[in-house]
Amino acid sequence: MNAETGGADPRAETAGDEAGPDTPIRVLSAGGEQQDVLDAVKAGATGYLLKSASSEELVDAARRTAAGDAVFTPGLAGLVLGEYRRLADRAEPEATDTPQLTERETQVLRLVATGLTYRQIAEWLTLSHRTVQNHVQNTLTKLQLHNRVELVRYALDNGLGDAADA
Amino acid sequence: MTIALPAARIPLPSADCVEVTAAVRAALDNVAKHAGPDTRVWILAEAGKDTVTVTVRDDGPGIAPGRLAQAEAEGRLGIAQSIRMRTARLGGTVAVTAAPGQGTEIELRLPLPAARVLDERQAA
Repeated sequence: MNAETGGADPRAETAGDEAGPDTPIRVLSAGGEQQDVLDAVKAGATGYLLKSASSEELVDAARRTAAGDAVFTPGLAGLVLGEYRRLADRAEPEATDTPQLTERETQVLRLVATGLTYRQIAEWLTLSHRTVQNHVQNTLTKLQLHNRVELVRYALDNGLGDAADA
Repeated sequence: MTIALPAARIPLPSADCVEVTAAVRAALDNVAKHAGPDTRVWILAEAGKDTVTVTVRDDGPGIAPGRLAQAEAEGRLGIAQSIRMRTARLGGTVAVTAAPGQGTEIELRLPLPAARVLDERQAA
């Protein structure tokens, strides 16, 4: 599913009923508002493209999303790095459920954020292309899992569900 | 030019912002001066627990080994001087990674606590 976000809340778009759990979700953002993009990604979008993306980039992104790969731009890598930092700063000292990046994941995200392609990163770190993709994908998966846990917790705390059903 | 940032603003005292902006501008001037017109530049800003890191990377021709030291020895106020002095003023460090044909990466690392102290002094 593609969501054109002209000011609409991209979270609402990604949560559409017709999208099953395995539907690749991409967000095509006009504004590129950073918090919106981050929220969409945490809600399950596998990547985003700015509207200024070329047709080649769009086709490539569609192909990669369909294949289950996250489509990461440098901007998204910067947002994800920032989100892990924010979660770490906010966490209680004894909290164990705060998602964290491994050193390798941090390294890979920083390289994506400074414009290196997966192929260049693989070469630079002597990893396979697939391993680089997995590292990037993991950084998203951990955020999305955490996001779901937080939503459930919020719902329970606010009496939106019966604890026995959760 | 592509810029990667966290979603939240990075709080820095305004005096620090002026220095950081000037240092990044010096890095960009350097790209404009030494790299071709098709060179791409990426800027990444990150707020760590007690540091702020700004990375400026380009995919230009890179810098030949010894080239920076040579320029400095010749007393030319180049990239190294301007960026290093500004960053040092904030108690930070600069790392330049460049290999011929591999582009150039300049990483500015600034301590946050020092910046806060500076801010309090200014407020006093």
